Amino acid sequence: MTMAQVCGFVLCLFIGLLGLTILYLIWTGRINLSDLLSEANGEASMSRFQLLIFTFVIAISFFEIVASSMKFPDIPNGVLTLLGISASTYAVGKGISYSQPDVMMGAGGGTSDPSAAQAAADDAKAHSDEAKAHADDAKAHAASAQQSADRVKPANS
Amino acid sequence: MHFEGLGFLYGLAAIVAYQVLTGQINLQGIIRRKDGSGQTSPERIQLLLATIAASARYLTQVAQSQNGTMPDIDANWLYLMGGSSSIYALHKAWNIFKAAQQLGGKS
Repeated sequence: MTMAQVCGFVLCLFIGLLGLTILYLIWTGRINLSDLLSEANGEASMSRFQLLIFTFVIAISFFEIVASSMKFPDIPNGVLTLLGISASTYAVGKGISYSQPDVMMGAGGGTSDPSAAQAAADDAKAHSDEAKAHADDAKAHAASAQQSADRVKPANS
Repeated sequence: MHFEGLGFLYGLAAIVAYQVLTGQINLQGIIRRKDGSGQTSPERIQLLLATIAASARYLTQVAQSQNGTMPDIDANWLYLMGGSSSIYALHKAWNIFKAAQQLGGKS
């Protein structure tokens, strides 16, 4: 076995282990992909989704061609143009969104889901009731302390 | 080496697809307008459909390719994707700037 073959084998092993590690970390959630398609306001972006789809399609196609022909194929201009269109759409969309950050953040700040809004309102009401109970409790303690103070004051005077 | 690459890509695609389907990757609001109205956006739907159609078309061409070269994309499909993306970007710009004007008018 020549030195070149050994180097090739080690390189192949390293890249394989690296790929497996990345997949394992993504699967276990230590590499977090939950916001892969999200914009700054938390809502998913169509242009990100499009770029993700095209990237996978072109990359998988490329490796399939390499695996079948055992040679490095040329990438046609049409494919480069398609990826350019997709990446430009993503960049333009991002530019438009961030040119008006107030609108962007305002859009994700609320919710259009009635059940989510009702749940949030119920939650707020529960917190309000709890705070009211604490306030009443504090008021009762204050009254009790005032009574004790009143009883002590005549005894001292 | 190329089988490693294919394995990694298919594995990554499978994990991303699984996380999208189980909701771990957020897809909420992907076809809604981002101007705060919460309305469904036709330009996003047409871009989604064009993306799926172009991807399916290209994968079919790759599957049928026999000569070991990457198939080129027909100019008509590029016009379709360019037009579709332009409609999406123009509508997005129009909706966001309109919402910004309304926001400016209220304050």
